[in-house]
Amino acid sequence: MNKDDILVDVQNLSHQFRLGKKAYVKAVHDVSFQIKRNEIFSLVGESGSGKSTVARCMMKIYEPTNGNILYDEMNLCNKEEWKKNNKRIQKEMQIIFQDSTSALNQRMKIEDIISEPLRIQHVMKGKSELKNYVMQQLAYVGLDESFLYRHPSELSGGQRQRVAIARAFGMKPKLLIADEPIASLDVSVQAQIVNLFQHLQKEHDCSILFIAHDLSMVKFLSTRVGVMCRGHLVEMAPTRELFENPIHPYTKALLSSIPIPDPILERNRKILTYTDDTNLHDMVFAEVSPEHFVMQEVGCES
Amino acid sequence: MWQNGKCKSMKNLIEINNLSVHFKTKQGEVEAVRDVSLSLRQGEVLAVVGESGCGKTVMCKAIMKLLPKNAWVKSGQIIADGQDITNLSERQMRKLRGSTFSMIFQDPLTSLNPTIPIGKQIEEAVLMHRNDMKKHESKQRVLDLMELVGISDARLRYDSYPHHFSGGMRQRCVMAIALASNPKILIADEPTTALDVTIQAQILDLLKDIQQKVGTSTIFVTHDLGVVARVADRVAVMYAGKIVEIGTTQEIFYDPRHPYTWGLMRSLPAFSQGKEHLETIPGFPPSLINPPKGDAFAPRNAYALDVDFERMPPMFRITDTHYAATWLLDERAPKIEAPIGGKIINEQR
Amino acid sequence: MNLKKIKKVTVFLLKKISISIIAILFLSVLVFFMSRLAPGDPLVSYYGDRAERLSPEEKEHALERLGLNEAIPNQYIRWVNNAVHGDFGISYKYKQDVLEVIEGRLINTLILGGIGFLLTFLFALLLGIFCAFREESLLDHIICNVGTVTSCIPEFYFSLILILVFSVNLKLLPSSGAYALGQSGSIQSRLTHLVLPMIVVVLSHLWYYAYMIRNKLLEEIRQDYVLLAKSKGLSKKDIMYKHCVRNILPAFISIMAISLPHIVEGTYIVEMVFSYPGIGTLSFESAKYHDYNMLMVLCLITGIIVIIGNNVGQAISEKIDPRMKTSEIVETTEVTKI
Repeated sequence: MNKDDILVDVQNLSHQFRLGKKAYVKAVHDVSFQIKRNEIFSLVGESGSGKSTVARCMMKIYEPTNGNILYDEMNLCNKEEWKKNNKRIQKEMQIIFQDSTSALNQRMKIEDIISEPLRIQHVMKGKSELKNYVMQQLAYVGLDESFLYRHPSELSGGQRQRVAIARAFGMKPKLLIADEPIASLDVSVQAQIVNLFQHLQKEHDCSILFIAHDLSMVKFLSTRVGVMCRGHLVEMAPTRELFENPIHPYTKALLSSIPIPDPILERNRKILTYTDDTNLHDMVFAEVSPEHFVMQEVGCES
Repeated sequence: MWQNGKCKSMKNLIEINNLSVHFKTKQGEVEAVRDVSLSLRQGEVLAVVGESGCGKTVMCKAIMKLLPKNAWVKSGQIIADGQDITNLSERQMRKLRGSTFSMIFQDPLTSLNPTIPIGKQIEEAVLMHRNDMKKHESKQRVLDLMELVGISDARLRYDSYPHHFSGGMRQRCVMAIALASNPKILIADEPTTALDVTIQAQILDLLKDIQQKVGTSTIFVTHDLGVVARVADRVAVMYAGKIVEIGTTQEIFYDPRHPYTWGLMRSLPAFSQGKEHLETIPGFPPSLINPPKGDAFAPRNAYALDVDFERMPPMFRITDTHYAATWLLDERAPKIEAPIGGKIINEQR
Repeated sequence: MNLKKIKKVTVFLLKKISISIIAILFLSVLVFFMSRLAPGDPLVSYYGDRAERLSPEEKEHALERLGLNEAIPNQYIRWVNNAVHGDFGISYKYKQDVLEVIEGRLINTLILGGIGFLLTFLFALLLGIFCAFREESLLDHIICNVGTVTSCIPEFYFSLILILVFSVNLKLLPSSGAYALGQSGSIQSRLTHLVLPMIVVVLSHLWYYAYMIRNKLLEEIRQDYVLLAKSKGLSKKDIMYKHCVRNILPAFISIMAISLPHIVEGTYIVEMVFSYPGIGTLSFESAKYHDYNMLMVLCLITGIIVIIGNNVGQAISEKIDPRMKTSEIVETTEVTKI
């Protein structure tokens, strides 16, 4: 992989949550991956697999217990470097959450929601310029002017998610982290939003970290996919390769659980179950074919 | 029981005739369910599919009479197990809930009381319609139920609290509660939506399994067509408070007739493999405060005819089991080839 | 296992007690210095009007006898030293051992405040459940409005009105004291004297807590599990008592514990208005007359009541609510979600 191509390099990231004096929960364990420029990288896994925690560590919402996150060759985990660059990083990295109902301030108008980060980062000078820009962003996500003065509570889930997307893309981010952005939406709306992501990614030339549990959408949208299982990254490969040639048993189980909207196929679908008694700690993450990494037992890499 | 032909001879457990349910809100009166007629046959799984806000959940709550205070049944009739329950009092309804029909809710995390052990909560449901049960009998029944829904080590888990369980396990507990009094009708409102995909299939298979074992008829509310394909015998597609198409699972998946059903299916990624973009339905669903005069789907429908904006389409009969509400089926309408259906999709796996 | 548990409990108790002792020490320092720094002459309470006529030498002599001529920190150390040995000094005003003076008064306050506290919460719970049951009905609206008005009337004003109506105009109930002269043993006399102060203590706090409980219950009724309970076939009454009330009990008990100081303070004000011979009137007097020793002990008693109340409340609510036991959570994988 060419070094210039890499936008984010996550190295051996671990994060623990502290529950009590002696109790810890390891949410993320020794996860390493790279996000290239202009790609959509997906992290998939079940709830509790630690995929959201990875995203939050990258946004510095959580302070990682261990490991480094290099963004454009700046180490975000280094306090001094972070202090020096945090303005720039806050502008270039944007996040979209699953639950747009609670992620948007209910008391603010849509116009203010979209323009707030712009004002904080002093992107625009004049008031009218700002307003024009906000309207332009709304148009990008398929909402018209009438939405400017509405409140989030008056919008449907899909429309609210569009507002969140408009706010994020308004900052012209280099990296967009989308934490389950379509999980709580209806099927037809999901499709709209996925198309929107695809379109905006091309338009803005940014990278997207797309976190999801819905594999069928991931298959359609992303360039590369990483599979997480209980805090470990167990497999990572280009999308096509992963779906056609899954190696790790957990990935296989996950792929077999995608429902097929066809009664005959669906009823004959065999579901693999993944019962793991293997200790994921003693394994290594090895490249089995170009860009296809799998968690394997030591000595298996051939 | 899964062959559709057989179902015809069986009696209807639920019959809904021209049901309308309205909500009072600050903005005005919302017509959440509009003139819906439906029947649930003995031993079948009827899936009700639609997007959020289409009235599918409201319809189920109307059957159970669990509507919130600001909602009421405007008109229509609900007949459950041969009895007209439209005007039953709360006291009479209580006797039916649990025994004639019971319900499973979407979110297993919140539908159990967090401060009462699981076993006690199931026992409460067991004793509800069987006051004469002795202590050890009811406990045995609880353990049997827990085993039925696939909770291993039932005796050990009896005193556990809901927060000791994972989401899938909690949904199993909710199922045990719903099945406690051998209900004839089970209403499942998005029971797998909040669960992980790997667990989703387990719960669906369990539901189907139990359904065949105990013989309950099920109304299965969902927005996921993959789930429908797995469990349903018949499917009703709802849009903007109305049923737009109803038929057997095969008919709906392989021969859909309503443009909304087409749109719904085409927006699934499985139908867009290899394409640049996902197909979508443009626009948003209409507001149900003063809903449109004609077909509510017309503004989003590429195949809409002029008459769609003027007059509500009636249910056109396609076969004895398959009906759809679209003017495209009128004999005067231009013939349009369905953009989807007719073949099994090729899923390269 | 059992031994381990006992050990765990003792460690827990010791921890709580030591924290409480530190809190009380801190409180005593605060009260000690604040009272000494307040303007005024402590000799006035000891000698009454005569204090003004004392010669400078006599004054100095008197101060020395009472131990008030030393530097304040030294006075404090001496006071702590004596207090540890059970000697809290004498009251300047009553010229008696402090504890002796307090003894009789404490019981009066406990009767008024304690019963008032329990009654307040009993009625608050009943009223809260009643209103939650009839949510948005006319009766609920009336109770809510009347309740808000009553809780806004200041205690002393409310007391005066009650005295005016029941004692002055109707002459039904006595207006002051804990019992009629010479009838300190008579229960009937005590009860008639309790009625008015009790009404004020209860009514002025009742609605605040009843409303809290009503809202907690309404929040609980909107939970999903209530819907499931309904679909089981449970009646509204069963759901309310077996599920909802049970689930708000921990919150209810913590509210009770936290509100202890609130009600203690209310009791003190009521005592003063009704000249009820309790700790409230006594603290007011001792602060006014610079009766230092008395003031210290009264503050400590009040502080101890509050601290015990809080700790007991916390311990009980941990026992009742299984969600509060953190040690068990670790077993589930659910935690990793956060």
